[in-house]
Amino acid sequence: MQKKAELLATLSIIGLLCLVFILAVVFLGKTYTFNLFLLGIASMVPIALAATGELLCERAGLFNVGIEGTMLLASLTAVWGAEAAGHWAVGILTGLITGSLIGGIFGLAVTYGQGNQLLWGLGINLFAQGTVALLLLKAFKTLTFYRVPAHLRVPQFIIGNSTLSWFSLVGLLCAIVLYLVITKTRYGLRARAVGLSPFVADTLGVDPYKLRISAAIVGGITAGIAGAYMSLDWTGLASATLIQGRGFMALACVKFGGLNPLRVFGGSLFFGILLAAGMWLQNVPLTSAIMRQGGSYLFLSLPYIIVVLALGLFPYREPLAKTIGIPYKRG
Amino acid sequence: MLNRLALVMFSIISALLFIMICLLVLGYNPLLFFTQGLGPAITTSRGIIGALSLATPILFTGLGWIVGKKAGIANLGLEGAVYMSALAALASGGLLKLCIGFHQLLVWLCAAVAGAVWLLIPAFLKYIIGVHEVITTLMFNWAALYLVGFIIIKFLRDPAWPMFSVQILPSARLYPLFGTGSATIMLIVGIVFCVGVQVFLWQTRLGLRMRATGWNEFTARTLGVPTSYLQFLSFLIGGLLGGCAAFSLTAGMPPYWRITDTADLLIGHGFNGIAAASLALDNALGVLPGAIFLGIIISGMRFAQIYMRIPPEIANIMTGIILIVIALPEIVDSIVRPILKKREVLYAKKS
Amino acid sequence: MSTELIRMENIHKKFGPIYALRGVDFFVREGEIVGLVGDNGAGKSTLVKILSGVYQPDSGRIYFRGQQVSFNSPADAIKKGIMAVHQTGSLIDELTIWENFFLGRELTWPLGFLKKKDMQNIARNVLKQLGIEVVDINQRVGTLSGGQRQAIAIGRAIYFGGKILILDEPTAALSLKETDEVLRYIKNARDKLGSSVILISHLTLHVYPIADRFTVLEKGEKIADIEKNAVSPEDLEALIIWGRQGMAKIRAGKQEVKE
Repeated sequence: MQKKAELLATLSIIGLLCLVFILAVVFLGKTYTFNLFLLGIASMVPIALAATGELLCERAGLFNVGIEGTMLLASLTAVWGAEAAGHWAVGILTGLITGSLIGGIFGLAVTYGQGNQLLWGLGINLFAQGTVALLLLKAFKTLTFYRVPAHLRVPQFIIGNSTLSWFSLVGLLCAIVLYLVITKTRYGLRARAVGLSPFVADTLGVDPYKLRISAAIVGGITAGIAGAYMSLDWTGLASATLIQGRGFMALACVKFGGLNPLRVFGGSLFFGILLAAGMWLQNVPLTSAIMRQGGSYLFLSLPYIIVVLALGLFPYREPLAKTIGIPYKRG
Repeated sequence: MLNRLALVMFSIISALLFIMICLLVLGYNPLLFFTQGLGPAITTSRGIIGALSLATPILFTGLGWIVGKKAGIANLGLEGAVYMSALAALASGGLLKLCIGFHQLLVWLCAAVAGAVWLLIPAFLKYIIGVHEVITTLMFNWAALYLVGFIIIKFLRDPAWPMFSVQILPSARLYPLFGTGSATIMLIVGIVFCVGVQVFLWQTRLGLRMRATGWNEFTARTLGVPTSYLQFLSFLIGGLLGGCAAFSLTAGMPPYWRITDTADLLIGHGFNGIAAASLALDNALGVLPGAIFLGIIISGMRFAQIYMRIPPEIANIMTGIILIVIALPEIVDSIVRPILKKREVLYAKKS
Repeated sequence: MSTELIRMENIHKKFGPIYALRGVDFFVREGEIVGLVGDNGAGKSTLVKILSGVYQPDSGRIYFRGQQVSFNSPADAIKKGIMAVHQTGSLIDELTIWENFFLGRELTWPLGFLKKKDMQNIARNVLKQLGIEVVDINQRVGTLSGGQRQAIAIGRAIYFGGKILILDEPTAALSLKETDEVLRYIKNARDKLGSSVILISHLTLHVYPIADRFTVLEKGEKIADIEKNAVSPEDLEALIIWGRQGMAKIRAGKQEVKE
């Protein structure tokens, strides 16, 4: 019964996506649709990455609201790192390290420190907002945004009217690999055990503390890469308002997709397209007129509303873990 | 009792220390932070009034968070509720013409109801399908942010100032309590609400049931408490309180009485409310000193912006650290306990 | 006299105001089945949880083969071959039989990918030896009967070569037939593999047939340590129920073991 409902939901999602695709081709033409699709691929990378990292964390029983702040801080340190070393790869690495540090501290705090995960995540977000403002002023001498010099951006190659970079594909690959790790490896099984019953896992020799910390670090790394991607690859900007809720959207993606790869990756593609389309539609003749009259704001708000509707219509039924948000204490 | 106070003190001290270290590392003089930042906030009349006016909306959002928390939900959607309520306030306050007194009450009502209505969808989704409210409310925050822009540009634009909304008409405005600045009567209303919420939670049957839902939903349900409905209700109450915050930010914000299309005056109050409530350890009466403290910090940052040329957003660093430390009661306990052990008698009164 | 495998000396453990263990001494010899008995609240589960690394003692020492050890986590205890089947849960309901069986000791390809087929076959075979015909090895453990769950837990502990098996109330939820089989299997583990077994049970009639020795706890203290041939089942029960008063009766005519 459960499985049938799940199958029905998945099929209807696919059906919906196809419908959108057909509508796009009809109204926007083939070239625009293709561009939109490529844009979607590029846009889904940070969401898919952060979502798979958070999927691992939630499997292990951690709920990390601080992904947004991690991505923000990582996006900034990535630019700083690229500038310092003169190459974008160092920037990505810096972002990665930033993410892993934040993830590690979060992991330590909510395991050994028995900390409250929700408050901690919110704290990270606020902390990141403040720090980023300070860093922007001190390091880049700007109060609004900083344009990353062209030679420091990830090199893109041009397809039609859009650009894509190798790094996007690498990012997607990482997300897919991580997904396989979660579902098919020993580590993924242990993470699941810890999320379901940390006590039993502990008695069998799987240390819940260490596992959760490692999951938090992995989640931090994916968020860090996603953040670095946003600044060095996707937009070429460093600003306080760069992430636009993508971190939270990754959380939604996990709740929406659960363990179903089609839902996770399809969902992030869908959400990615929605987020990217807002800006993009300003250049399309059919819609640019509406956009200028404040319609752009309306369209910018749509992705978030649609995500909520998607969660309401197609919730992923099976809980990922029984002990999300509850710290585990050993005797 | 003492270790709770220690937790709060510890979080404040950590936040201050941390920000001083940040400033030092980045080349600023941390002592100036006190003399030119926090100092004027508590010594000059402009600073104090500014702190109080900033504390007012935080009072309401903090209360909204607490009502949700006590019932067991994490109502992170107060940001969005504030935005949408502000729109309702501006619409009813800037477009309608009514007599004084009645107009103010109407605008207040519209704002409060709008806040509750905006949170209806996340509340329903949780009530009927059980979707996690954290995610729906966060998404709705962002949706609200952009909807504000859309609605202002389309319907509430001030013809003279393209980026601003209409102003609240004089008949609906609230005026400063202390002559100058932006502290209005809503501050008093907020204090009354603090007491009201405390009384509601601890002295009424409905409040008791809500708290029972928050402590142990399963047990409460087996005892006949309509937990889902109460959680739904607490969502709406949070929305109402968010609407009050929005009312104080629009009609109660002399001399502006308006917002921009990017919701400039409205941003951050939701999360600051959560910080104030956490500083108060989720106690409705404690939100007052918590909100005032946050008001002092933010007001201080504005002074620091002028004198030290640092962005006022760094107040968020302090808020963030406060949340992080309050989230670690056990660690603070293990640090503080050895120190307090010397005063064994006092410590034995641990609650 | 066979050698001592485990010795716990002067173990104290408090949980807040509750004094769970007061200066308990406990030892297990190699190849011995010890019945750790006593009424509810005596501290039996706490004692073995300390031995298996779940709790840390407030004071006291643990010796493994004469060397002092301390177990900071269950993983440490498992490394020394101490495998426990706890009363408060040894299986994860949402996981399948083979996942529960192999958790913590999974068989993998390089990079950690699970060897599902191998693990499923081994689990199926081990359970068959226990007399459990598994219909679907991918069935979730939560839907199985008490006896089947216990068989999985015990079979797991024995299969992974525990030197010391700790079984906390293994027969409490079993049918008569299942009890008989489980007890027989425990005895086999000692006879064929040389494992020592610590058996906690409040059902002395189950424990008595296969145990070699009994350690009796009462309200956190050890009140007796008797070889089986020195006490009858009825006397043992009397000891548990009546405590020290019952002890007087035993002292009157029987022999106590010298440590």
